[in-house]
Amino acid sequence: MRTRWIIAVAAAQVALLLFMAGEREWVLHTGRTVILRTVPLDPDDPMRGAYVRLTHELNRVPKAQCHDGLVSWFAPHESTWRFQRSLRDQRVYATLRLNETNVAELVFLSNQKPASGLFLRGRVESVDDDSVQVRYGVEALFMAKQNAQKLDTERFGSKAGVPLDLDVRVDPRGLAVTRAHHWESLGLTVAIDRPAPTTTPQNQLARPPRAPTGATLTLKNHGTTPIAIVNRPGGRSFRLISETRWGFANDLWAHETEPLPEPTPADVIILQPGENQKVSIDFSAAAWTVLHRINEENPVKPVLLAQLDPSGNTTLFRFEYVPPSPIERAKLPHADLISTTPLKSRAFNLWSGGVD
Amino acid sequence: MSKPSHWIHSESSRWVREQIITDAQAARICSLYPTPTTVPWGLLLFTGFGAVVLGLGVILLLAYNWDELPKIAKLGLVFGSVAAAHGGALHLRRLDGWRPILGEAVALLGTMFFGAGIWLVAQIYNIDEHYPNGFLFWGLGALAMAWAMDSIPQALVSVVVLTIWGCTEIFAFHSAIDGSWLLIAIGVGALAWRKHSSLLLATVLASLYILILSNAGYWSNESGVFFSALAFSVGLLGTRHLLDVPMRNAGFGRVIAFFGFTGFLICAFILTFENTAEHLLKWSLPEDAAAWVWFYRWVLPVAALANWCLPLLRLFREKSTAVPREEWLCPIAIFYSLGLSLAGLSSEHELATLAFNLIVLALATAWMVRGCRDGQRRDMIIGSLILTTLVFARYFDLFDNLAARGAAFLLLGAILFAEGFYYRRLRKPEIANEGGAS
Repeated sequence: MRTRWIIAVAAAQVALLLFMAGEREWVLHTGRTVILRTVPLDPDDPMRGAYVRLTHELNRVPKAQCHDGLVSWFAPHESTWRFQRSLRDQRVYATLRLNETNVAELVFLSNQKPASGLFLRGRVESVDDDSVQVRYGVEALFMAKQNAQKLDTERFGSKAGVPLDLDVRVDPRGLAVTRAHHWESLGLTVAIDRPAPTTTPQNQLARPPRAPTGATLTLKNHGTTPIAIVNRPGGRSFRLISETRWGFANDLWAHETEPLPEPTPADVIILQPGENQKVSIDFSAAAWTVLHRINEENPVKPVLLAQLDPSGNTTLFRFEYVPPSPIERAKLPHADLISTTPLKSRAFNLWSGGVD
Repeated sequence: MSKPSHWIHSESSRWVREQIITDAQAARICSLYPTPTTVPWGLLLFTGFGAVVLGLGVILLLAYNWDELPKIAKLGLVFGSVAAAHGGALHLRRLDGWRPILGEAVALLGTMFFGAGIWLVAQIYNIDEHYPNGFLFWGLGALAMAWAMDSIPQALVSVVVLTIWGCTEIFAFHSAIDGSWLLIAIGVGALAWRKHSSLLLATVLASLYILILSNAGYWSNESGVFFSALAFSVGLLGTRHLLDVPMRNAGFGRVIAFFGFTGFLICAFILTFENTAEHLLKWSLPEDAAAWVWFYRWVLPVAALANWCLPLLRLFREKSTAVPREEWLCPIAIFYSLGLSLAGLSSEHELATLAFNLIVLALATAWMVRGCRDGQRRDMIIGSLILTTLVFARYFDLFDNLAARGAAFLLLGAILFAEGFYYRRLRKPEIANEGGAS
């Protein structure tokens, strides 16, 4: 009798491992392909070895994209901290749409499982006043230590500003399994332009902060085939995104809701492999006006980026390259080479430059 | 072979050689002291330890994540090693002699491979889900195998892994799983009871302390942790008196006494300090206190006191002195500290510190006296160490001048001297009978 029990338990142990592997293998073979754009980090796990931790755009969901029961999570509570802590590990579902190149974009996040369509199931990592941090179980890539280190070195070196795409397969229950990863071809880097340093007065220990005058955005082709980009005059191929943090939305771009100017054939630039195109952004131009407030009680005031006091400004900005729409692209030369996916830069603030 | 029987067997051979006794007489003498059948602990210990280390080695080796090793080979290695280890263990269990013991170690290796397999399958498929679940499934696998095989080593692995599970939930994910300690208490505690295994019981009790205090700390604060520790330790001491006398005095009872007294003495000693007493006895609960807060603050102390009801009933009915008088201070300490806390007298810290100084002093004195009187050297040493620790602690925070400190040390030295002489005087007839130096 005891022997039977031992065999049953041993079989159950093997069956659990088989189920873990089999379920994932099934999703890999039958699931729908989705590309997640990620940013790699480089921790280490004592049980599973070296791995690359990834964060992608779906991980941080703004309050505005939280639907159904999630709306009440942002309502005031008696003990907000305790309530937010109790939400950890709650099951949530991210409804997605795919763009032309299968890159996933979040439609909304809900605690209700969608009846159909493409969605990812995830669990709440944390909740704050204006966003929900979610993990979907595809935030790690396990690999040999030297490969993990190489990936990390590339991120800051030869592949700076290039998104790392995660090729995942998603089954109808929202379970995602990572299949492969690869760097995209087009990369975007930002360098903040500041006036030349002045000499420090002898009685003053630190230099006053030098307000940035503009930024140089570099689009580079890291791939092996030519890519076409669209460079609208005045840097208007780019949007300015300000990230809302700690419940206080500030310095939103004044032209957020305005459509970008229609590109002309003269704006199309072909980048051969390894070539780049630099675009200068002048922070004193009216196109780069933000809606600034000192605090939530004060009224919103339009201010040029060049006029923002960098020492007191904690807002995180990003530039986003916006490719032409399919209709616009059809009217342009080299349409087949034109990159179709928007591309965000690293976040930066006016004081210190890059922060993530 | 036990030491006395081993001595008789070897000496009788010498006596035959020296023609003091005959072979037949030697055989008759030896038959009076049969060699007890013993578990080959050496083999069990080393093979068991080897299995655990080997399993960890496999985890680390595969964690290196060779790119050259294809996925199918990695999966084959994972499934094959678990199946092969358990199959081999089953085969060894059917053989004679020392092989079933080796089978136990190989089965342990199988369970280690099973745990490794969970992480390695996660590695192969880049699964980054809630990782404490990996420890939960590993622990449950070990627990199931422990019951199936009636195996203490498997149960020890399950306690360690399930404790890691409970702790990672709290400390890494801020999510208290109160069922974790209940699972260990019932799932493994029952096996420890069935097998009368002191080692397994000690591991279970250590795990329960860690998990109960961690969960209490999650739901409440330092005060909640303190009351849980006090209640659990007093509850253990009460439980010991519910055991029958042979079990109470055997290894099983001694383990319960060790964990009970250690926990109680640490709690009592902490309350002999003014600042900590004021802080710990402050009755503060979160505004939206969850049900588990009340469990750790009320149910646990009440359950601990309930364990003392039967000994109390015996005391009144039979005038039995089975429970040493000083041990009654333990349940009284719960009443007293809860009373101070509920009455809002935490700021009157002298009420707590004085009482708990006296409690620790009373326990130390009682053990020293009983140790001398009954020849229990261990009680005597522990009592003396507690008294010395108490005097050293008060050296820094109670006596405010060197004269008082000097007097305290003089008194302590005199007590320890007196204890030594008292012990020697009471043991004198015994020492003389044993033929020792008078």
